[in-house]
Amino acid sequence: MTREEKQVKLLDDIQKQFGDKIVSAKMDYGMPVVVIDNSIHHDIFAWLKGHDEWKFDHFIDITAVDYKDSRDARFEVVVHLRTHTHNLKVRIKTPLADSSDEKSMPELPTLSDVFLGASWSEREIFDLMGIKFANHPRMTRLLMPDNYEGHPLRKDFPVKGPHRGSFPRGTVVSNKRREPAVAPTTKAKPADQLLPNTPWEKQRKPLSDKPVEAKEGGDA
Amino acid sequence: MLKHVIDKAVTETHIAEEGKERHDYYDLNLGPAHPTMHGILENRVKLDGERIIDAECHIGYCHRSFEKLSEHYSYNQVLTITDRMNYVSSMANNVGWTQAAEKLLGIEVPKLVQYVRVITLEMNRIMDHLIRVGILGVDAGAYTGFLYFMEQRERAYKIIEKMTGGRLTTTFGRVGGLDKPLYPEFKEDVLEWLRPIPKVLKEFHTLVTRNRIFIERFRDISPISKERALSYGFTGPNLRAAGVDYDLRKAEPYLSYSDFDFEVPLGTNGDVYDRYMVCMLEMEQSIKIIEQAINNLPEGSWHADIPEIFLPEKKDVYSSMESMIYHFKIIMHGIRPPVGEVYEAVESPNGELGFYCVSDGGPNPYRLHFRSPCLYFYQSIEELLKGGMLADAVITISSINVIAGELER
Repeated sequence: MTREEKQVKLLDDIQKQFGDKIVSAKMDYGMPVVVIDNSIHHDIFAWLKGHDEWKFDHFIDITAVDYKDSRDARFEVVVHLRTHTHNLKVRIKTPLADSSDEKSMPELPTLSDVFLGASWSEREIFDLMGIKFANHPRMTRLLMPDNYEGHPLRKDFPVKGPHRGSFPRGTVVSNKRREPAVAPTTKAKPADQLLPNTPWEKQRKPLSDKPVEAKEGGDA
Repeated sequence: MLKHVIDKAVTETHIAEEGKERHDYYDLNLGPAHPTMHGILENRVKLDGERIIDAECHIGYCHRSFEKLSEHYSYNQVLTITDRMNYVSSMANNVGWTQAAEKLLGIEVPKLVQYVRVITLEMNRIMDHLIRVGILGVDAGAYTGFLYFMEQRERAYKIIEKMTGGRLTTTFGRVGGLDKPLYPEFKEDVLEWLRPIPKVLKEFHTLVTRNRIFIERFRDISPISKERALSYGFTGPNLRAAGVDYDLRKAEPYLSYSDFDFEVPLGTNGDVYDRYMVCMLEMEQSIKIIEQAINNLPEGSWHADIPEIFLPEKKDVYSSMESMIYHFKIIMHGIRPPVGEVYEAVESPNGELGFYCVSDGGPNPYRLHFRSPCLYFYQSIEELLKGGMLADAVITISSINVIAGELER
């Protein structure tokens, strides 16, 4: 069986097993791509891993994409798997709608019980994209500090950050107050709220305008 | 061997024992700024004497938000980001990204470009493994071998500097070809660089490979089984050390890897010694590939014939109308691939370096995800350290070769 025939057979097998839960299954740039309903997000991976013939046991990657206004379901979680028995890769995509209120996050079941490697990548998605994975053993931020607000990879997060202290390109910085000369963006928060909650940062005071006085009797 | 197994069993009962007083254990922060950590990695370990009974890893000290940044960069500008990911072998990242962008655009590059990319990939593989194995030796107490290797790495940097103008941040190649034609004496320089390397490798073998001290330090330290390595998403030398025959160069031959004759060395246990040996043997295979590529280097153009994507030469911009129009179009409107998404991976020295790129038809990637091999190795550290000695922790972290720039992107 050639590689192309195998890929077609794989797509057929997945469609036969999960029926109407498969939104679409087709080839894209030489890779089988399956879009699934988010109710089978966990089951399909357990099935693919445990299947005698296909045996997709090599975990390659999990990531998420934010299609902010261009799609009905805002997010899409993308998983790549690999089988060594047939030398194939497959991409499984799970569309996921944004949560209705601002405080909660969209949620999916975790894959870390199927693939050990999904654990940190799911934390990264939680951190940067704001998607929660249920039953994950340690659902905390991975890269950003624990007290960080917002999810940087979302499309509505400004690339230069929401801080008042971020300097847009071409800003003239006033030497006196060490602040950008232009007005902050409308969404900006007061700088006090953004100070991290650590003992060091609490004591940090704004820089004084006066030059530092030379110590008496200092070495020349 | 047996002692190790018994010790491990004793530790496991210690972990399970609930009645043990809290003050019996000692908490130690290995990192974030510790001389034995390769980059800014923080490992909190709980010690019972010299033995690690629990470990917790934190990363994020070197996060530079490359994925967000690349959504605001053009396709060629993303190259500068990839330089800064794995700074030990930056040209491998450059090649990976140009491959991904070319797949999205549907470009096939000329044979010469493919061969030059193979040569740079393999040069970087040798350079990466030289420093990786050298530092593994340093962590176990062998400084001499490291110096032998660093000398060869320095000589390679001279060639890379001539080729690209940079040493660490190379920005090698462009979407659709190379960044400039090869310099005239490239062939001779590479062959000249390769000549002493087998001898240096042999010297290192005599110093370390059969050395009783290092065998004791490396063997059966932090082994990982096939199944767990696959489940963790291991790739590259670390996976091959566990005995899985998976090399992207053979499995999905990209560029012109099917033209070359080489072998893929495999380990059995996935312990530190196997990782070390796989790296040493891979260097020999890389030398073979480079020699074949240099000797059969084809003639031809150094970029694909795609005027709407590849910038025309500067002298043509000022003399020919068409070139000026294309120059203006590329600079002002950018490269615009069709709507679609693509996953392309290359076998970087560390493992499978993948690029998942979503395009909405604009001049910037809509979403670009870097599948860095390090992230998947480093997750397993918590498991690998548990039950081992503190001195072995340093060797374990060194042997899986975590590069902080690639880990946190």
